[in-house]
Amino acid sequence: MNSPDTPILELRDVTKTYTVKQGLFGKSKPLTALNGISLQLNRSDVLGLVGESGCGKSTMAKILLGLEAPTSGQVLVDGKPIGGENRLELARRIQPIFQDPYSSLNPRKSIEDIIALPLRVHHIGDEASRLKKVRDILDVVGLPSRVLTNYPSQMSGGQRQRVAIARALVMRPEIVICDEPTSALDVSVQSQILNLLGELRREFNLTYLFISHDLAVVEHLATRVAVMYLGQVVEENSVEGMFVQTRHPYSKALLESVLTPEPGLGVPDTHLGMAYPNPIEPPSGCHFHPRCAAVSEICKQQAPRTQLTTYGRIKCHLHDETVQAKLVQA
Amino acid sequence: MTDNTQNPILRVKNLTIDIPTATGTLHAVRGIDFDLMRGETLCIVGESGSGKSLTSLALMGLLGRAIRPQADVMDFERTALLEASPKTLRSLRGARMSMIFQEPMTSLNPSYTIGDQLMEALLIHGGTSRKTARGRAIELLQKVGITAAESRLSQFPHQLSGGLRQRVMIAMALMCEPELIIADEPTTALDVTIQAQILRLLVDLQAEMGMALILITHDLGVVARIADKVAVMYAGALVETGPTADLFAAPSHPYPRGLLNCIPLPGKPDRCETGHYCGHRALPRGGGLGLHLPHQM
Repeated sequence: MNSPDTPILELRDVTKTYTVKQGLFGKSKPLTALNGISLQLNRSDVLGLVGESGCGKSTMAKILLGLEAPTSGQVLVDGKPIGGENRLELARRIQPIFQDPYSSLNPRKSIEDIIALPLRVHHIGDEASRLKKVRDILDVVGLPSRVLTNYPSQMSGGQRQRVAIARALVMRPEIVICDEPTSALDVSVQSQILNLLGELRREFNLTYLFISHDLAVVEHLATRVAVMYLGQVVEENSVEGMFVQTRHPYSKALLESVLTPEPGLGVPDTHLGMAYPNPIEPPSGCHFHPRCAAVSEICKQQAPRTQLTTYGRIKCHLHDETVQAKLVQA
Repeated sequence: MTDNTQNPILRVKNLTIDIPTATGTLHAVRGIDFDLMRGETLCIVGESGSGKSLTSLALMGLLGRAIRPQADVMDFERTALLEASPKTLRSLRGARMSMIFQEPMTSLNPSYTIGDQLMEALLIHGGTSRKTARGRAIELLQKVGITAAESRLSQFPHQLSGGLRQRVMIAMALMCEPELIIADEPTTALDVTIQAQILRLLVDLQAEMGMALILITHDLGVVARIADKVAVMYAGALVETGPTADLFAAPSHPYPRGLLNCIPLPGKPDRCETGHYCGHRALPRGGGLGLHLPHQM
């Protein structure tokens, strides 16, 4: 064990580039899915990762699970870099919960087989002790043990997501990567799953990376929030900081898009415009400038620097004092 | 917005849908009533399986042969939808009433171009030339905020993102300027940012064209922001109907109250109060709500 200050999970300047072919005979072009991401997760933190589809959230999840290798940069678990050799070791410590419980469970396996599979892969215990572990974990996620012989098709969306959670937790991992675990579910079921995830975190001292596009859900569970846009983290903050004093124009627009049940307010105008930029040809300067309400000339030419704030970091010219001072002089 | 002296564009009284299954009849929709005026927005709220989508399919006459909906009244303007011939229904669908489906991934035909699918309704109903139809398709694509509209016409659905496909679906529903649009969870599959944009678009278009809108959703945030009136469905029955403001201020039925409690909001206790959905087949006696309610007697 390292010192308690070592973050349990750390990304150092992680970049992932894919090569995309345009059309049958088109030229191959690089698509930068992740662009110099640095993040730290402390033990028993919940980091909410927010952004629109296509911003690189799921690529990041894949890299953290060891399913994809970063093009450059490092991922460290407990201060040690992860590589190709220790996949099993990594899987013991990091487990995923995916978005869609309809496609992430094998329809031809019984619930018992599904939950026991990680134990079998890791050669843990014999048949009897595995069954006991499966029963225990089912109880933890609030499912009766009679579902053991069921198949996924016999269960509702909420129950399936509980099975997925049980499968992730049966190895007693330290880190769980939740990739939009509630967005395929009804509101009433969604809140049950969120409550369950919160309770499990306290009970097993888990660390979550919680990926979502819904800031309301993130606020419910997270302790820290990172907002991603086009492969970059544009703002990172404590959850209190984020919701009390949002700074980045993109985070503001995301917050405004959350429709709270207040009749009479109408649908908000987020000023985001319609089009998410093409990630193969990202806009010049600050990638967000074509959709930004507070855009100025410098945003189009120069990429913003990362600024440290009281609780986190921000990447925006509006909050860069040297840039603002120069603008005032000019 | 609504003129009460008008006749409603849609009247439904005692709509019932029974589905015969191997284990007995499933009472999917159990006698629901509602009216809709021109330019009005009705939101039907409820969980998956509460009968929302079946109701909308019944209105459109899309249920298929095995399921026969029954109703005392189901009139669109002066046409009794249940007695109408398939030919009459075909002349209404897509022309005067149209539907936006939930899944833009599966409801567009993968082997036809966006342009073909957009123009189809107008070519069939409007009897216009391909040139006029093409012009109208481009105009609507621009209206729903799609850039480079002209070049999109020759693209196939798989070349577009989910948000774009959903906008194509909306444009398709608007091609013939219908008087009634039924949107079945049009934004559930989308990002929050795109959701806000699409809803704004629907509201703007509605104000411009004066359509009536039925929006089916389980998201009370959406309901609060765009509905004139709300109908809450539970296990096939309407448990509460009323103007939006009233329902949110004081929901009289425990189920909508439970739904409101489920929404994660700043500074709210983090417990959800609804219990488990009881399912349709094992309906308990009474309101069909027995298992679900925290305030159960």
